Amino acid sequence: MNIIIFFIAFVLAIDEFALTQTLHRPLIASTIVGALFGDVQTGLLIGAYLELASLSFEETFFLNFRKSLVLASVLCTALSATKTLSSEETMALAVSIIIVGTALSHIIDFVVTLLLPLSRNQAEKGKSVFVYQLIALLIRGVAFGVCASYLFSKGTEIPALLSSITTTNGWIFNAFAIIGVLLPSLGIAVLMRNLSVKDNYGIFFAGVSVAMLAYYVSKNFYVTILLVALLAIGLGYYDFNRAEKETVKTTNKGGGEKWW
Amino acid sequence: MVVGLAKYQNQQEAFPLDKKTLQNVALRSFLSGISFNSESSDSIGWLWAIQPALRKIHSDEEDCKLAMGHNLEHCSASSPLAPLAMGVVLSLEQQKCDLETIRSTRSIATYTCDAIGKMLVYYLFIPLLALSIIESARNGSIMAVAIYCVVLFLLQVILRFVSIQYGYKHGMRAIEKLQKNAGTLKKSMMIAGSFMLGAILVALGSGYAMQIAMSQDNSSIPTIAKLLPGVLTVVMGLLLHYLLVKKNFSMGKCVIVVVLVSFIIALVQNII
Repeated sequence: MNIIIFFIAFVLAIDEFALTQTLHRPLIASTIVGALFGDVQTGLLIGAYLELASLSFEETFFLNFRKSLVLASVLCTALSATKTLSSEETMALAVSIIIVGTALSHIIDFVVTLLLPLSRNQAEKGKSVFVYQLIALLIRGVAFGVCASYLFSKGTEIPALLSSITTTNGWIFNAFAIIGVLLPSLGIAVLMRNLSVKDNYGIFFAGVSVAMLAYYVSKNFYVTILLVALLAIGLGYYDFNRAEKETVKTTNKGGGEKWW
Repeated sequence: MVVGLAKYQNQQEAFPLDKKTLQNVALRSFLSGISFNSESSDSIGWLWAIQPALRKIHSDEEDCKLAMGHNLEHCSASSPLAPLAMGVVLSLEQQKCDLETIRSTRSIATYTCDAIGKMLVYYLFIPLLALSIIESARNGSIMAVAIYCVVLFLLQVILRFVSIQYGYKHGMRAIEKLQKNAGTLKKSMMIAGSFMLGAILVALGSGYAMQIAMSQDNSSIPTIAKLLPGVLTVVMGLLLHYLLVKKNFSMGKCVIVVVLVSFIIALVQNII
């Protein structure tokens, strides 16, 4: 049983970021797990619940920032299908499992960051970075597989275990979540250096202010990005046209135009 | 160091990419999100996906290494519309544009495609499709789930294979006109890129408030995070920029700084 859980969590965790990017959806994932454990009906029920919940999480639980529902889909369905816990009990556990799954995802994101220097070395030599793609894939799959099979092996102790994990080790999860939010600043700082942003600090801070305003109004990452990207394109277009017109004017003054 | 402010040695425009290479890139893009990491997002996957095209474009070995190096910088490539950005960036690479122009365009294009792709798929198609089949699924219809699965997958395939051709074709057309004033284009794109980088820092930082809310206690969100979402990432971005440029810190040292700051914030929150 644990091997099935490991395997299915392994595949779905990878599918969340690569391959079909479809199978990990709670409705599909839970149906597959339900079918593997011989109880499709429970799989469909829990899948439908989690799918609807995931849509509502977008707005209510603020979990839309790289939340991972793979662990919840696999564990909730497996626990219900094997009658370890009732459907109501597993559904009540769903949010705690999503938190653990999301935290695990953040820890993996940090671990995969350690592959970046190696990838840079490969790129410097002009070699393929496929090995690091493969390592990242295995890290993600194995971590989710081990976590899912470990939690599943705890059976009826899961509620107490999850509660102790989220309360006693909550600050460590939080630390990795904050790393997940702050570390992209390093990637952006490298781009800032390579784009010589110091020559355009005014524009940089204009971007900061507009994004703050857009986020404050929309409360949505993607809407903010889209609004700001359109503004950035507009800004670049305006500057390009203005510079072109100025070039034409200068050329005309010193060139063939009869100013007299 | 590969990444930096170098220029391509061979400035001559490369032969246009064939359809097969672009399809290969679109196919590889299915795996581009697997190496997502906190620092550079999907950059490893992005590079791996466009590598066959880069090899065809840059016949010069050193240029190819340079292209591979700068394409490992921060970018987002996990959305179904990521190949659109790949097509646009490849058209710039093919025209041998300045690295600053490519960097700025990549930052804007990847995040725009990410936002449009995810809003289209996750906020429009998935809710519409899920709500229309959820009742059938509750009644035990496996066929409804199979349809849900197939439609979502087909949508991804169509978006990826169509968008790369579209992005490359239109990118080529636009850049052929704009490249006549390469200097002006570079300056304008650097302005647009700087604007976008500031905005990305704020948008990424807005996740901070969300992450804290994972503790299911919204009252624990600091007021400053509510009022000024992203202020922490902007400060951190400027600090890291200062350390990289002025103090010549290595990337490893910068990662240690970020990890230390994150653990201190988490500990303080835990104590409070």
